[in-house]
Amino acid sequence: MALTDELPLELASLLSASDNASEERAWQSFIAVHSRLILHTLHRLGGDHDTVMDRYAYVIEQLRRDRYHRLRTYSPTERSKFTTWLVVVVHRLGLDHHRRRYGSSSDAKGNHDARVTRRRLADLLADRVDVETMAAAEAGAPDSGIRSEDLHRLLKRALEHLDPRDRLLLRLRFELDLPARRVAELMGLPTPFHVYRRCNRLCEGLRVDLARRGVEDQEP
Amino acid sequence: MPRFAMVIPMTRVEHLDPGSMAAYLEGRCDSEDRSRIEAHLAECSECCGELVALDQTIRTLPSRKRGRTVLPLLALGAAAAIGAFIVLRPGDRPAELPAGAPPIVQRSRPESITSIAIVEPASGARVAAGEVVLRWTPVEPEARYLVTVTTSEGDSVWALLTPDSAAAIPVALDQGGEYLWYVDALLPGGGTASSGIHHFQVVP
Repeated sequence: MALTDELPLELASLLSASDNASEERAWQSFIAVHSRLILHTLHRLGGDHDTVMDRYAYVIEQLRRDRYHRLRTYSPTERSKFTTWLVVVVHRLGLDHHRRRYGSSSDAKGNHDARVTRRRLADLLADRVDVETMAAAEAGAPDSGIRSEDLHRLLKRALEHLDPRDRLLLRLRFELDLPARRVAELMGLPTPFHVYRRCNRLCEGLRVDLARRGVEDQEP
Repeated sequence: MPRFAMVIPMTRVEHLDPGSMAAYLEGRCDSEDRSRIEAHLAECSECCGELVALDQTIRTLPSRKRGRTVLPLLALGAAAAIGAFIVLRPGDRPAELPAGAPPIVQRSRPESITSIAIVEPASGARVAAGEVVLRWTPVEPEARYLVTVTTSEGDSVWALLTPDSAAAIPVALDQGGEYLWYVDALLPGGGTASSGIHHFQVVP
């Protein structure tokens, strides 16, 4: 396989450079071509200007490390564009930088936001199948907490029986709050209406499943 | 090569490798890979969260196709940023901005645009295959120029940061291919200039 026929030219030039001078030129060219993408990706992780710049320096260092070891892992036979692959790698390196600097307990903005807004899928689905309403009606009862837990346990079990693709659909839609349009695009569904319809069908199926397991009306 | 490799990039838990994640984001998986990737995503909160974050990042990237009309402005941003990152600090480390200075990426305001005159090849010119030389009129003695060549689809072919006002394209260009090229300048005072987009065709 001819390297230059398959890889983006700036990458092929870099990885096939025969001496230090040409390698340095190729690296400068690579950076010139991809700096905007790298900066954009790192900026999305949040933080002020200095933080983004520190992150940028770290990512550049990591990309350059061990004679571009990371870049060499990109395979010309990858099914994605190099730029998309690079966004994934840079995003991960950006998070890695944050972990190294602040430790894993504190997270980058994106993950922090995600964590703040993330709720248990089972909780959200419970809303959809009225389990919360059922539990709320029992709020005055001394065993309402236990009943609610039972409901969630049963729901979790019901979710585990779903096809992984359906579980992912529900996760993207309800846990990660993605718009139906984006869920459709990511999962290869023709329209957002397919997402709505599938979600409704799944929730209905979960209701039936819960009913089979003894969850009827307001009683678990 | 396995079509669906799993690596351990972030934690001890197995996660999707960058190639699989990128392929899924682009919707370029076959049904078998898609099933495997979705099975992992359905179980792995970390990868699923990453998928959404990456999706948002990619969707907010300046579009290549849209870039044909706004490319000069975007390129000015790139020139300003790259100038700060590479030209001013060759060690890859971005330069520090003075206190209170606006972020680098905001320098490319329309009001800062001045024009770089193209010398050759003229826009729409047909150039012979072989060494293609790009020339433009220098705007200031201390200016640095980012010259960029892309395919007509906007895919990067080659780029160079140079203090000169000419550059030979060192990579082979396809005969019959149409290419876009533009020059952005980072001026010593922090201003920018752009040539706008020009195109040429390579003929035998």
